Amino acid sequence: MSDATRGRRERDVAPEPGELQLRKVLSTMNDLEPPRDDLFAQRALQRGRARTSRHRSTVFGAAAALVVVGAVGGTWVAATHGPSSNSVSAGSAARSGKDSSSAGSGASAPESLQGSTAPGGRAVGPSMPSARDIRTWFGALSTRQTNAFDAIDSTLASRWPDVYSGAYAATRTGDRVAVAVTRHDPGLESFVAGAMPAPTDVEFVIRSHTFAQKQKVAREIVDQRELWRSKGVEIVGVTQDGRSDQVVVVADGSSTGLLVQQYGDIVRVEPPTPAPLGKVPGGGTLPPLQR
Amino acid sequence: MRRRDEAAFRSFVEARQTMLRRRAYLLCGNWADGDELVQEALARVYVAWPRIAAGAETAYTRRTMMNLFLNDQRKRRREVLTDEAPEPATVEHDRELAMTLTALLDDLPEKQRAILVLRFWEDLTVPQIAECTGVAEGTIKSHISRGLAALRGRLAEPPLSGAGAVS
Repeated sequence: MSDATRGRRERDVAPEPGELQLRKVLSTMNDLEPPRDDLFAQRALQRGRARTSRHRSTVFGAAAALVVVGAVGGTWVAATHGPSSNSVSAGSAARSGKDSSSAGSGASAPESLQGSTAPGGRAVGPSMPSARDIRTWFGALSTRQTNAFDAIDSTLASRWPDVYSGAYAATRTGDRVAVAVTRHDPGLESFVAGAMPAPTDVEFVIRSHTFAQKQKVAREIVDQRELWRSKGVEIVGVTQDGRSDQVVVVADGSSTGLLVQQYGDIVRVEPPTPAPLGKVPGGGTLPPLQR
Repeated sequence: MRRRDEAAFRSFVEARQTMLRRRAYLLCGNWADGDELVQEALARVYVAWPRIAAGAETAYTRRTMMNLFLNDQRKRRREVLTDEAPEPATVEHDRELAMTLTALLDDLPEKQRAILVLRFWEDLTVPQIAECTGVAEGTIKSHISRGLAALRGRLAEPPLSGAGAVS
């Protein structure tokens, strides 16, 4: 039975008082001719087209906004977490402690564990860095020389991955930069010298490990922090120290020696000390640097 | 929209515009507002046209109109009207008839008015009205009952004359 039929039956069964009269009155509407409007259909078409256009613009606008938000978010995530899925920021206990005392130890690209807390539950790692943070080897030092080197740092890491090891400020004031390399490379040295304000602003020192090797170790330690936790080692932060040519792991627990045992002298373990957010055990500021 | 769809839309509008405009008149009480309601509803129908199933165009348009009417009325309550909408000139017979219908449905709440029009002019069933307006069937029955009760007095009065005279 169709709805219309059922409806008629409903009416037949129980017509309310006044229903028939109302129906009759309303039916007179069918005698009423609307004012003549020859362009009615044309106007409907035009309004429909205009609305479609607005609708499309809105959809495209929303899609564009989504893309922008995604891109910004992606950039932020990339900047926050670095190339691996783990958070990476710069500044290390070693470097930070020495930056103030010996003009920058050259720590860089620490794998800072966001949200890591000391066993007591107090945050000891650096807070979430902003997307604008960049990696630097020189901590709070900012001179023409350190800035010039920061600008070419990533180029060195990508063009001379088997030579470039790291850097640090050779002087307390940061007016001279020491670049660590695994061997003398005329191409790298001329490139760096050319990029500095003066060729004499840079010196080259020989180290054993490349930046890439240390980076790989640092990343592996971060990736395996759950495994280390199961072994009783709470990884709080990981960074590189260009001066000592080591990966510095800030870790807590009774078995931190296992880290050195596994990786050898490329890794140095330092205990976390209660410090305010953004501070390292030595009291230096943890620059939230990215890699 | 493809050219073929647009042609179908135009045919639909041309075939249904009188009925749509009459319905809108009963809802709004004047041709100007009614036509605006129809045009706005048709613009939305145009956007959705490729997605509307064949044969469902009328129901879709009706539902769009009802949604617009009820929402628009809610908005209009907050507005201060300053003048009457100019009505196009009509013949005397139509003018009287229009006044009769307007006077009949005037003062009814929008939802009640819409439901009465759907029920007694369009001859829709309660479930169809529920589907069209999104109102529960029980509420619709209640609106019908109250609407009829409210109109009973007016329907009993004799001023209905001419084509709208109640015999």
